[in-house]
Amino acid sequence: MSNRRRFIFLSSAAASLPLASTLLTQTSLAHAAIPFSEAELVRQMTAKLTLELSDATTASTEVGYLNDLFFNWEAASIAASQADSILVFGFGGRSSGSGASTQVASGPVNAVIAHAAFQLYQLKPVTIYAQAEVASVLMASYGLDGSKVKSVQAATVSATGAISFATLEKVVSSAVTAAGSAAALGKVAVVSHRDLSKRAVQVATTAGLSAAIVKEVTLPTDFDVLGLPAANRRRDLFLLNEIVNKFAALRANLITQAYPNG
Amino acid sequence: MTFRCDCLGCPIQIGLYINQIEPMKSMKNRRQLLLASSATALATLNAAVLSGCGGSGDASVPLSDVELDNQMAAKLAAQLGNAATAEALLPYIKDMGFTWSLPTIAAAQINTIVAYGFGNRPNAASGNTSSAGGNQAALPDPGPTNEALADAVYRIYQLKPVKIFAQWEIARFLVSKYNMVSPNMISIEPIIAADGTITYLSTDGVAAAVVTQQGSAAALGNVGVVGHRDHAKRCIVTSANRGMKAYAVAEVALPTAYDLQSGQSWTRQRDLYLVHDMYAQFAVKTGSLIAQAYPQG
Repeated sequence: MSNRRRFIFLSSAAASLPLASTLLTQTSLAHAAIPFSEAELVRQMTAKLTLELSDATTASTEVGYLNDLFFNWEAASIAASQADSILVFGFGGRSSGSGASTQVASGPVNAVIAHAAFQLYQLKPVTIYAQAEVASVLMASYGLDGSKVKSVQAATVSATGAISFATLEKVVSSAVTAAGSAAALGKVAVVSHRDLSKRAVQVATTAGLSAAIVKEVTLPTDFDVLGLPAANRRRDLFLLNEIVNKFAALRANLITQAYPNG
Repeated sequence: MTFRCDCLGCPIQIGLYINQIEPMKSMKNRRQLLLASSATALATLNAAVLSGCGGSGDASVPLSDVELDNQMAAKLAAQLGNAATAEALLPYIKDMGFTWSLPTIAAAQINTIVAYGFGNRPNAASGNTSSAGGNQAALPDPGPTNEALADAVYRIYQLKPVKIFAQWEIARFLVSKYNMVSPNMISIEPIIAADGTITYLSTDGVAAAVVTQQGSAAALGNVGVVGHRDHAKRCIVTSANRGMKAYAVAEVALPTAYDLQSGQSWTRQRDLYLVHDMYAQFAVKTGSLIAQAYPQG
């Protein structure tokens, strides 16, 4: 990454401002000399927030939160061989029809999530607990029956045709119910869309599961322009929406910790 | 601007933080940012503002928006495996995570004051404000933070006596403490539901009510916004989203204190409130971006 950035800085300076070439070359080289490091990122964030808030202590606290919320998108991972169960989160879906006759279809992203889950199952054939929009694909396209795949939390459709997909928390709690207990799931291998995986693992962990993604399985990165909800159609919007979800969880946790009695 | 190095135990006072927020906002891309800020950056590099600091990070590197930008872009691109997506997200991250300074206007230039409340004090009838968004059974007491906000309103009013719209918690003090009983001091009252329960006004709910009562946002002219210092940026953004020309008033400092007895638990301490405020900023912005991209849903 740092090499690529050096190239950008050097080429932008060289190509664009010949009249100030000396100044720019020096500046660009100065930038190029500063590779990315976690410590430097934290130092720069802390300095900026300290200035903006006039408060170094609060800035330091917020930087801890923001570094995780904004800049950490990779979930913890385990080897497939360690998995005792597979927990699969869907990624919205598609709809057909309208009003009361609206129907939910799995759609192409859940199809590739199902494929990833099946790849994992081939590496380690353990019980799969899958959100319904993925479970239906595993059953229909991969020949896995109800003894191997437990379908949880299908999307619901209101009388007006509004679709509600299950929250991550609901999927986790339903899987725990289906298994009998969190302990019965053992080490849980999480399969989901790549950009959802960090929060999916966090939610599962918060619910008491020992959860991680699996090293050997590449999680899908596809977005469906016809998908629902609308935030699931474009990566930038989805990630922003994930930041909102992460802030919501952090806010709720901090309030509960600080003021358990309200 | 001066800045004290935050490295653990570091005694160094730094003379300059290279603040490029305004140029950053107007830049179309990072290359332009680099070019436009180069003179300032070079001057600071030459000045070697940081040296000898023994904390984490590279103490020889200047603390600046440009370097912050570089570090954030690098990490995000690595985490996402995609530099373009990282670039798309960074303006939002910088704006909502790292910008808390306020656009200001001289008191002499304002035409209206709009004051947004902050927290409250529960009483026996009201209980604490529901964190789940439920209605309250009765009005809480306004509480000390809203009194401080009323003080700020009054100070601005002394500098420029213009029409005031104040959320009810502040308006109560403007009446009781400053005897501001006038058609030009309008209290934005909470919504009482049919069952008698009270819907707490959101920041946007207050802004919308002000515009409705004035007839249009344009009719408010230049708006001097009053809010808690950490809420004020969102107050100004929310006011602007409702069409107001909104600023903080340069001459009057906004309250910074937190009330540990506030009925809204997220307004009791600063670290928690900032998380709440960023959550609100991101939720509104993301909702707006999704609606713009997909107006049909």
